[in-house]
Formats: sequence, C-alpha cells, structure tokens
Amino acid sequence: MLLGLVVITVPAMAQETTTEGRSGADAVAVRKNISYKGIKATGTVRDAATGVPLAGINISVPGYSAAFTDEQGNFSIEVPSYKATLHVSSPDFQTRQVALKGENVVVVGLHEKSFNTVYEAAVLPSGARAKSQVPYAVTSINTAGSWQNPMAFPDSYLQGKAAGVDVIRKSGTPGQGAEILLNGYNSLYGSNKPLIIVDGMIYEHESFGSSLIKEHSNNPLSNIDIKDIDNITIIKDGASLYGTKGANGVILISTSRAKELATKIDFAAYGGVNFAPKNLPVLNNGDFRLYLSDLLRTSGMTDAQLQAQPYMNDDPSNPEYARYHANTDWQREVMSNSYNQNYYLKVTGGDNIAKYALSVGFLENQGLTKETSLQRYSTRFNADLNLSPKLTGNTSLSFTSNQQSLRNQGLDFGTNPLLAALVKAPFLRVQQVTDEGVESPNLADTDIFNRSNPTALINSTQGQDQNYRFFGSAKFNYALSTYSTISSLIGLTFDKVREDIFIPRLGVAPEELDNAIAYSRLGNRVQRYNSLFNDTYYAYNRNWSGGHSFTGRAGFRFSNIKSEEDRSYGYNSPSDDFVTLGTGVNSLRYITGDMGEARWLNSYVSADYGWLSKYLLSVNMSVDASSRFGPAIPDAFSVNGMKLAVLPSVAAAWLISSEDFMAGISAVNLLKLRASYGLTGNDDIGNYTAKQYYITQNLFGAQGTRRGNIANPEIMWETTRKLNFGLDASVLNERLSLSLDVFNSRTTDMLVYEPVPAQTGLDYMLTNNGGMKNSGINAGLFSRVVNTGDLKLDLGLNLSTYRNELTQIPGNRLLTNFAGATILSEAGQPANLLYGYKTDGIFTTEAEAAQANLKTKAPNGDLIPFRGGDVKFLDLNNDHIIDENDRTVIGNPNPDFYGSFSSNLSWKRFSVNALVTFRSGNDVYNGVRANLEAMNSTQNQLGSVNNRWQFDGQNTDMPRATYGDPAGNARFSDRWIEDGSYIRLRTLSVAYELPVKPGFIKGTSVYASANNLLTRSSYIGYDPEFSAASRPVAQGIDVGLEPLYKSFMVGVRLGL
Amino acid sequence: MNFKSRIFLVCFSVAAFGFSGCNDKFEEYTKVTDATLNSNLYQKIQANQNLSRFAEFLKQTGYDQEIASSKKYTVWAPTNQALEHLDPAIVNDEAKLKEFVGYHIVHQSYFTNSPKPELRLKTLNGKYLKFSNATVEDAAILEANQYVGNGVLHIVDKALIPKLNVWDYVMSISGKQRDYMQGLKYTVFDPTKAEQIGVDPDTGKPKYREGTGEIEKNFLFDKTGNLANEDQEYTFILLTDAAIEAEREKIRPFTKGATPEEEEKLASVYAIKDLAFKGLYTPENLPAYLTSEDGVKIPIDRNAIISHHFTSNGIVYVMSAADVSLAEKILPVRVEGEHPAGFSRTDKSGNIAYRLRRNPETQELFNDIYVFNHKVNQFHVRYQLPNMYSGTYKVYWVAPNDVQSIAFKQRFAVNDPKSTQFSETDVPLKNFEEVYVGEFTVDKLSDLNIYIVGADNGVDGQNSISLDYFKLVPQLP
Repeated sequence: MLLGLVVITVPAMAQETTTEGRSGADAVAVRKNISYKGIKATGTVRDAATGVPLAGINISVPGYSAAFTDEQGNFSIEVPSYKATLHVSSPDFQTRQVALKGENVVVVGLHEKSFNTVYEAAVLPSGARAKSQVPYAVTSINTAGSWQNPMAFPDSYLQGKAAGVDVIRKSGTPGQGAEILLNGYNSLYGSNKPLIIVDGMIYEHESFGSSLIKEHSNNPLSNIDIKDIDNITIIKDGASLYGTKGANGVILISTSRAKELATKIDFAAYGGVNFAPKNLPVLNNGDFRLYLSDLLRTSGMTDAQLQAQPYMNDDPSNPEYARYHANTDWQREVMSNSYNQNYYLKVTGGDNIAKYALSVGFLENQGLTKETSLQRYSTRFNADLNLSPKLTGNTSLSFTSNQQSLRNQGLDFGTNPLLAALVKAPFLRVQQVTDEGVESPNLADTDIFNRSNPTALINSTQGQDQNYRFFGSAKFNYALSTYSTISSLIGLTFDKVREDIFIPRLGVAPEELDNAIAYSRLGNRVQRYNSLFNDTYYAYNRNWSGGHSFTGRAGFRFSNIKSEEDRSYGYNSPSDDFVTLGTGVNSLRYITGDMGEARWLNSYVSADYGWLSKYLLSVNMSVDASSRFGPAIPDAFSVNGMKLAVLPSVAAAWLISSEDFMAGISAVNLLKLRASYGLTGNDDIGNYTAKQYYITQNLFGAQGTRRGNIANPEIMWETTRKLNFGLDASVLNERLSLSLDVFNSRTTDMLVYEPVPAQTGLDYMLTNNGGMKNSGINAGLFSRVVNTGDLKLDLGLNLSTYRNELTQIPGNRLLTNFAGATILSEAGQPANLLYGYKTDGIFTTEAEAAQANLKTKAPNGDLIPFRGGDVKFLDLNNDHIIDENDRTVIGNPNPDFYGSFSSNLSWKRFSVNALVTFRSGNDVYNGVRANLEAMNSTQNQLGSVNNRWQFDGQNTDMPRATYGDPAGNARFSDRWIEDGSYIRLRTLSVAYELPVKPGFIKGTSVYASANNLLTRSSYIGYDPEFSAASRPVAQGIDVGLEPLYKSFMVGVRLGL
Repeated sequence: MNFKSRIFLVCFSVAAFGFSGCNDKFEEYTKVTDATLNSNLYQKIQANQNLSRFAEFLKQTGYDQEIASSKKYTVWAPTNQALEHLDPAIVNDEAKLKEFVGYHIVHQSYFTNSPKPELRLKTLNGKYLKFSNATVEDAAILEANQYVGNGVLHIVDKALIPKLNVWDYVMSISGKQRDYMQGLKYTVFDPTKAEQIGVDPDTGKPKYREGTGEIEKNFLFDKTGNLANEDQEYTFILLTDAAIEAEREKIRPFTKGATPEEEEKLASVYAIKDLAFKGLYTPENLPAYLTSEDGVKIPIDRNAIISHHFTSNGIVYVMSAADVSLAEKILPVRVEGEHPAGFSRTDKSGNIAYRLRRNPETQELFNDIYVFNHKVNQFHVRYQLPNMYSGTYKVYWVAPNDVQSIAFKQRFAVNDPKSTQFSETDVPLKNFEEVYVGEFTVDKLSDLNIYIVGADNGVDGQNSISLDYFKLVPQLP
C-alpha cells in the first residue's frame, strides 16, 4: 500500500508527455498528457510563517492540469472551471487543497511538512485520500517516526492522540499495553476492541487463553515497533467496511516503506531509567504492633497469650528477639528503579524495479518489580515490486520475538510480590537469622502469620513468557485499464506463546486446592494462533474533467483462524530445585486446554463519489458469512440456507467552504459538514456457540466428557447502528482548526448470558437478547499559536465524552462480582455501575450504635448488632438489618470526559513536545486500599488506620479493628470508591538536531524524553490508571497491578 | 526568544509547578487526625505537672521505657498528693518501688466503659488489680480515659499498694494453722530445671549441681492448688487455734499413717484441704455452704467469722469454727464398672464389653462392664481408688447379669486379687438392685486397688463378670 505522499506527487508528473504512476493506494494508472485550452487561474504561494514566496510548488487539478510556482511564488494554471479545487503540494511543505470558489486569483500560505493540517492524507482501505475529502469521522496520525518516544507500543502511543479514542493503560508491566475504545462501549460480553488492520491485513490483537501468570495477558500489539509505523488512521463511525468485525471502529496502520530510491540508513539508540513509585505509607513497626494489639484482642486472645507472642517480646536476650525486631522496607525489597534500552536500524532504498524497507530492532525494558523485564527482537521487511508495467507487488513481512520475565499480579497476597510486600510485617526479616541475630544467606520461610516472604516471590519464583509472531502478506495488483485494477492480498499470521511458571515452597504461603495443599506450584502453557487471510477486489478510480470523481471497489475477504491452547499445572515438586512440570506429584497434575477455528467470508462493495471536491457521498455494503453464525437466525438474509449479515452504510459531506458564496470570507479555509449512518457487526460471539459441544470432566478420578453448553442455532452477530454528525473547520490559514463529532450508536442483538432453568444442568446459555446504546461528543481543537520562521508553537486539545446506556438485558438486571466489587448492569443505566453499600461515617460511641439499633447478617444467618466503632451503613429499606437489599449504586467508572492537551514548540534546531492526558469523573474501586484498611487480619495496613476508632467517643471516620470483621465494616461500600480523575504529563521530550555538514551523515538528532513525569490525582494508590480486563464490568477496579511509572531516557539518531 | 515564547515558558513552568504541588496526598491522607495519638503514655504523664512524682518513679524503675514502647498499656497514675505519704520503705527500696510502680500498669488499654461491672487485670508486677467504672482497687479515678497512641491513662487519688496473696497473708499471721501449713512443704527434684555438670562415668547418668533443680512443693497445694498463684482467686478459711485443733482431731481416726509424723501431716492436709475454695466469695455474697475442690460442703457460720482480709488473689476469713460433719467430709465412694484401671490379662479386649443398657424396671440408662467367654480362671478387673481414708467400709454392688441364661459368681478383693477375705458372691440373672457384698477395713490412709474376680473356671457363661458399679460406704461413729 502506498502513502499519501505518492498520491500527491502523481499530478506533478502529469506534466510530462507520458508518465507512469500510481494513483490511490493500489491502483496502477497510466495517464497521458492531455493539453487543455481554456480558462486560467493564477495565484501566489508563500511560506505561511515568513511570507517568503515559495518556488517549485506543485499546483494541480487532478486529471486535468498541473503547474509549478516560479521564483516569485506565482503560478498560472488552466482549470476546467472556477468551481475547481487546486491541489497544492511539495516535498518540503504541507499539502493543501484550495477551492477557487468562482474566483481566478488565489493566495496560498503553506506551513511546513509536519504541520497538522486538515488536508492530511488518511489511509483508507480504498487508498490514501486527503482527510478533507473523506465523509467519515476519521483521524489520521502521522507518527513521523516517533523517534522521541521509542518505548511506546501502538496502543499506548494512541493515548491522547485523537478525540474519541479512549486509551486506558492496563498496567505498568512492560509491553502490557492499553485498552483502546473508540467512542465508548458497544458490547457487554463481546469484544470492545477496535479492528486493527496492518498493511491491509487483519491484525488479531485479542489475547487468547488465560495466562498462568496471574493478571497477565499477552499483548500482540507489542510486536509492532512504533518506529516502523508511518501512519495510523482511525475510522470511528459506522463505515461498514469490515462488516461484522467493524462494530468497534477500525484502526488502519501503515508501516513504513521506501519512499525514494536512494539508500537511506537510520540508526537510533536509546537508554534510560524507570523510576519505582513512591512507597505506599503502610504502618511502621511501632504502629503495626499497636494495631496487632487492638486486632488480636478482638480475636479472643487473652492478654497473656498476646504478650506471649514473639513479636511482643522486647527482651533482647530472648532467642526470638532478632527474628522479630528487624525494620524491613518490603516495598523496596520487591520494587526498584530499573533500566531500559532500545536499538533500531532501518535501511530503505531500491531501484525502478524493486524498493525495500528493512528494519531490525532490539528493546529491553525492565519492570518495577525486581527481576521482571521484556526483551523484544523485531524485524520487518517491506518491499514494493514493479513486476511489469501492469503488474505490481507489495510484500509486508514481520517477525517479532519477545521474552518476558513476569511475576503474579492482582489481589493475591500470597504470590503477588507487590501486595505481599504491602501486607508483610515490617519487623520480619528477609533472611533467616540465628538466635544471636546472625543472618544466614537463606531466605526466611513463611512467617508466624503464614505470610509469604516477598523476596522469595522475587528471587526464587519463575514466570517466563516467550512468544513470537510472524505477520506477513504479499499483494499483487494488475492494472486492467487506466482506471481499474484487480488486486489480491494473501497473508499469514503465526503466533505462539509459551509460558513456564514455578513458585517455590520456601517462603511462599501454601495454597489450598480441592483435594490437597499446594506447597510449590509449577505450570506450563503453550498457545498457538494462526490465520490465513485473503482480500481480493476490483477497484475503479477515476476523475472526470467535469469535476466528478469516483472510487469504487468490490471484492471479498476471507479469513480462517485456528487457535489452540494447552495448559498444565503441577504441584509439590520434591524440592525447590525441581522446577519443571514433570517433577510435580503425579496425582495432582492437571492438564487442560481448548482449541478453536473460525472462518469468515466478507463480500463488500464500496463507492465514493465526489463532485467539485465539495459534495461527497460514500456508500458501502458488506455481506458476511461466518462459521460462527447459527444456521437458524430468524429474519436473516440467506443464500442456500446460509445466514448472512447484510450491513450497509452511507456517508455524505458538504464542504461549505468551497462554495462560491464563501469566496469573500478568506479567513475560512475549511468548513465541512459530515453525516454518516451505518450498520456494523460484532462477530465475537464464540466460535461454537451455535453448536453443541462437550468438555472434559473429572469425576472421582474418572475422566469423561459432559455437555459444555446449550447450542443456540439462532446465535447471530451483534448489530451496531452508528449515526455520526461532524463538523470540520479551519480558519486563519489553518492556524486554528476544529473538528467536532456527535455520535449515537445503538447495539441490538447484543450477546448476553441468559439464565436457563436448573434442570438443564447448566447455568446460562448465550443469546442475542441484549441491547446497548452510546452517545457522545468528540472535539478536537488545534492551533498554531506562534508562527515565525524560527519559533513555532502548536497547542492542541482533544476532548471527548460518552454516555452509555444498557437498553435490554434478560431479567432487566444483572450483578457481576469482580475482584471484591459488585457491578450492576441494569436496563436504562450505564452498563457497569459499582453497586454496594452507602456509608455515613462510623458510630463514634456505643450509645450511638445502640440507639441506631442496626444489625448485620452474618454468613450463618445470625444477626449481629453494630457497635461503637463500626461503620454506619445506610439502611435504605428501613428494616434495621443491613443486608444485600440495602445496596445501591455507589459509583460509575465511566468518565465524564477525557482527553488530552498537547503542545509542540520548535525553536531553531530544538523542539519540545509535551502531551498531557486527563480523565475526569470516573469512579474507581480501590481494591488494594479495601484490603489495606480492612483491619480484619494480621496483614499490615495503610498508615491511615492509625486513626482507627479505639475508644468510646473518639471522633474519627476510620472504624475499629476487629478480627474477622463480624460487622462487615470492610464490605464493598462507598468507603472504597474514589475519584479516578487524573491529569498527567504523559510525555515531555526535547529533541535537538545537530548541525552537520551534508555528506556521509545526513542528519543527527539527540533526544531526551520523560514519561509520566507528573501526575495529579487524588487517588489513594500507586496510580489511578489501570485496567484489569477489557470487559466493561472490569473497568475502574484496582486489583493491584504493577503501577505506571516515571521513566526517563536519552537517545541519539543517526541518518546515513 | 520573543515575548510570546517567554509568556509560553512562564505558563509552562506555572503548570509544571501546579502538577508537582500535590505530591504528598499520602501524607495528607494518613495524617493522624487526633494529635494526642502521636504521643505515648510516658510523654502524657510527663506533660502533667500533677503526676511528676509518678513520672519520676517510672524513670527510676525503668518503666518509662516500657510505657513509651509500641505496646498498649493502661496506667493508673496517682497524683503527687497521693504519693506524698508513700511509705519510705517502698521509695527507698529499688525492688519494692519497681513492684509498686508495676502495680499501676497493665497491658492493653482499658477504658472506664470496659468493666462490666468489674475487671480483674494482671499488672506488670504479676499481681492483679480490680478496675471498675469509677475506681481501681480502693482508689477513685479523678480523670479517666486520657488516651494516647499506645494506651490510656487514668489519674487516681491514691497510690495502689500491692496486697499479699492468700498464702503470704496466712504466713504473715501467727497461729497453729499457719504452722501446720508451713510444715507441709517438701521439695522435689526436676532435672529439666537443674544444671547438669557432667555425666557419671560408671552409670552414664547425668550429674547435677547441688542445690539446683529443687522445686518447692506443698502437700496442701497438691490438693487445693497453689494458694500463692495470683492467677487464681481463692476464698480461704483461717481457723483459730482451737478450731483447727478440733478439726484435726475429728479427722485423725481416718487419716492413720504409717508413722506418727505422717499421721500428723495427713491430719493437717485433710483438715485444711477443705478450707480453700476456688473463686472469690465476699462477705456480701457468702453462701451458707462452700464446696471445696473435693466436693466437701463446708457450713459457713457467719457468726463464727472473726474478720476477713482481701488479698491479691482472693479473700481470707478468720473463723472460730468451720464445723464440718464427718458424714459430709468422708463421703461414700462409688466406682463405675465401666471405668476399670486394668485387667488380669491384656489379650481379652474382645471379651470385654462396655455397654449402655436400659434398666427394664426404671427405664433408666446405665453404663456397665460385662466380661464374658474369656476362658480364663479367676479373670479380674481392677479399679484404683486414691487416698482412701482409713476405717471400715461396707461394700455394695450392682451386677445386672442381664444377657446370659445362667447365673454365675464373682468375688470382691482388696489390694490382692487372690485374697479370699471376701467369698464369691452370687450374681443372679437380671438383678438391677444393689447387693450387699461385705465389709473391710483400711488401716491407713492410702490408695486402694479393688478387684472384681471371676469364677475359678474356664467355662463360658460361668466365669463372666458383670458390674454396673460398686460402692464403699464408710462406717462413721
């Protein structure tokens, strides 16, 4: 696929007598010079910053005429009429389209090449086109190499880059990436991830299977080196270009290809430091002992028993003294500053027959958790071949291999080193110690509270993820005529993930299994994914001299995906020296897995029509067949009994600014209205939901199979109708531009788990009985604030908001438990509300508690009265019993708005880029704090529990410490709901281009950049940004993942 | 750089400053809202001018370190005024002062709403004090519930003087009962407490340093528990000389010993053992009878109470009489058949049935033992009876024999299964009544072994043993 640049240079060659070129993304067009005699338009082209006239700028009317500016910047060009639009382009300056609006003299001011213009080329499936000529809601991002931010991955890179693109970083684990949401949620159980197309081929970025490493998921997007990307185009509205895969929008990524024949080498090297976050203020030794005194007193321990605990002994001659009188900073034992490095080499070049772009890269990023890291080896080879005058070919091949060293994460205080460190008693030691206080090199075992030794979780634990992906395609284009082409792309994906884990017995709290105690844990997992993809189409692309233009395309896409996952668990190897799966106890070994296969055939037609470049109409339709669809979908279009998804869409745009009546208003460069309506689908309904399948089951040692589901022959795709109105405006020679979108999307036939009668032996079956809608506004504002020759300052603002509403769900109401939180999904409300108890401080006196006369229901049904120091839960139904009927909505994890603020400052050879992202009004369940303030066990707690209620009448809002928490003070309530709003200086980078004499070295730049430098948030945790899973119900729940961290790096780039 | 860019840079640095101004949200969040929680008990006491003397004592005794540590304490601090008249003997003696100061401190925090209505709390000197909503021991609480981070302080108007415990109190009063009690001391050797100095080369046994490993014991405590134990409250009767002599004389015929010395000792032990009662019975709630550990009911004649004294672990009544009748003191002994101490052979467990049966006449359930088909001549079941008073006992038993078709005979024997002091007694079929077996005399207070011996044949059915229980009824004057 070619880039916008090529398109723009085509008209330049139209001047020659006979020329060959390529127009559009794929078409091979043979054009002849036709001499037109007629009316002429004249004008001047100047540098917008300095006013200097620009020579050699290409002016053209596509398919009609072309001209260059002279020394004074003047030009004269023949035009078919004064309603025509002139295309202005050059290698060093921005592209621009200027409508004559009935006049014959125009003055054009051009900004530099990297200027963020509204005429930017968007790379659409049908080829690259100026954004101003696209009737859809699209955003085009030219990464410009992203040399300043080399550690970014495509998903995290998109954060703050465009309005309507909600990017939530999953965690600080290197390579973990981010959730990308275009215009909010469309599905409750299906995927909400946008479709990603890399170089014309579907890039599967769902992580399959479940990792052996808790809360880890493999991120396929980490296989793409950001420096290999040239352009990212995002289609947010309902262009039904990809049928039942496009409901969540489409992101098209184009990787870099050779632009010129000369051999060009780019080499870059970076290195930097990742900074561990500040410690959470957990209790120190003294405060922890006081807490233990209060807590254990409520456990029924007598004073004498309590004083007999070894940690209460303060006599240095006691043999236990040394063991219990350390002062260990456990958080620093498991987290530390770490390093990152990145090397990258790209070679491009070629000749008339073949051009190539080859890149290789190595990246290492160490995690905050000690001993964790990501190492990535990547290589990419893109070639463009002119096989004959009519036949061209493009190949895009990439291979990436990753090695990740990881540790468990999530709310697992036994094996997640980060959380284990938070709750570990500070008076304990890392290593074993003799009675005399002499430390041994051996790590200490689990402690008197049966807590793991966090250092053992770091040093003796293994968690390896090795994965690779081959992603390659070959495409052939054959020019049938000047205007029509036939193309076919064939691509393959091979992906393999291999994981090994080992958790030792020394120093790790054992885990209870169904029928045994697991002391050491071993595991092994292999996951394969491969797919075959084909896209074959006929394309027609023509501009008529009357001002008509037409791009049409008809074809089909086929994909066949196969996946397989095999997981094995073992337990209790003979000693910690035996770390491979086979050494576990035979009777406890457990093997499981799954496999899947799906085929998809998507037939599509698209037609884009434009008249005078100001009236634009686009019509698309796709007809999808899929092995996932049921054979008995009611009311579905069918061919030969095969049920098909028919999804049409239409979009129209009007460039008001190109109308003659706008001629007098020269300040307005672009004013464009857009509207689109389309049907899209989501085929993430499971490979075999329509079919009856069986799964394995072990019963008393005998292995057999049982029914795994209730087949639903009516299962179908989720249908999302998308309506979008947009306005694009640009004024003052593009120094201020605005893009505004209002959208409304409505999902019907949404996949839900519908409860089924108990006699079926199953709990749920999958049906299409849900619905959801989403509406919102996206606004993007860009301004060149300062525009002089040496100094330029750009400021940008993206602001987006959406409101989600569930319209239909079986039983009208669904409660989901996730990591200690309860999430309500109710028709008429947002799909994922936090649902729990409301509180109003605590009972500060026993008398107050007695007067309130409230009781709580214990798990065994006993009614336990609240006492002084217990939390005052609101009794919403006034029955004096606090139970599940008193729950209500206590938070909404969806933001009020989110967005970004960017600024680019360039001064001579310096440039400074800053990106600030923010998110506001989203509620967060702080699951970590809920554990660190639960005050119901011997886990260490947050410093705030020093304010706990300790005596009658104490005026505080922190409840008392009670062993086992009979009053349920720590239950899921608004005590743990926090405002997750934040504003963060995401990146700040400085680049300096060294002055070098043009020669062997073409250019050298040095970079310094910082990530997550400053974050402002009231969140009481390491960081307010995280995502435990991509489902809507998992949003806003802090399960104790590795936090995002500050990092700093410097780099150098050498161009040869 | 022009003006515009300078403005930008200024704006930028302001923005950056705004970002960084919020770093200490954690500090803000975890700040202790009540400043007093940041101080400790010693600081709190020091800060109070009126407690300066007590603070000084704390420093002298080293308790200042302790109550400043990260453990929870409750301190009842006497005011300077209350300490003015403190016995100089305490002030000038380091050990006594430490004991005195330690008596004002307990582990854990106790507020005045904790006692419901009263708490008995162990102080740091090992003795207990009593804490109620408004008082501690006999001191009134002037200022209550002054909390700090590591506990709570109550200011009291009197110095708390540790009391003697029951034993120490009794030892502090001259009298015959005291002398008798003191005479019951003995020592035993506990090798785990002794210091080993070598191994005897001839015997291979360990050698211990002289004088180590000796544990002081008291025959009385073996029956009543240690009266010096601060953890257990006792009500103790201290009799006047005449009364204790009367009690000893009364019991003496039944406590005959091997030697006159032993007889003296036994008379003391058995006269006094029933004068100690677990639990605190204050004069206000003193019942008509108190029951000793051995189940002996002692009549309490309020008129005989001369005085009473609270001790650190209970109360001592000085009484002129505690006239317990011999019938109350020397009780019949009933031994259940199903609780044997042994058998003549250990290989017959298959022939021994511990049964739960129903008496067909009264419909009551009972447990018994039934030995059958063992094919052993004179098979016996042994029972152990500790500390049987000397004297004559009548023997009764219930031997149901309810499942056989024939009657049999079995024999009662004392201390020797072969003894024919008792002749064989018929065990008729289905007899659920007590049967008189005979009588025997115990000549000195001692442990007894009782045997139920089967018939001298190996014939099934004829050599069975059946016993619900047997009863020894002492013959008192």
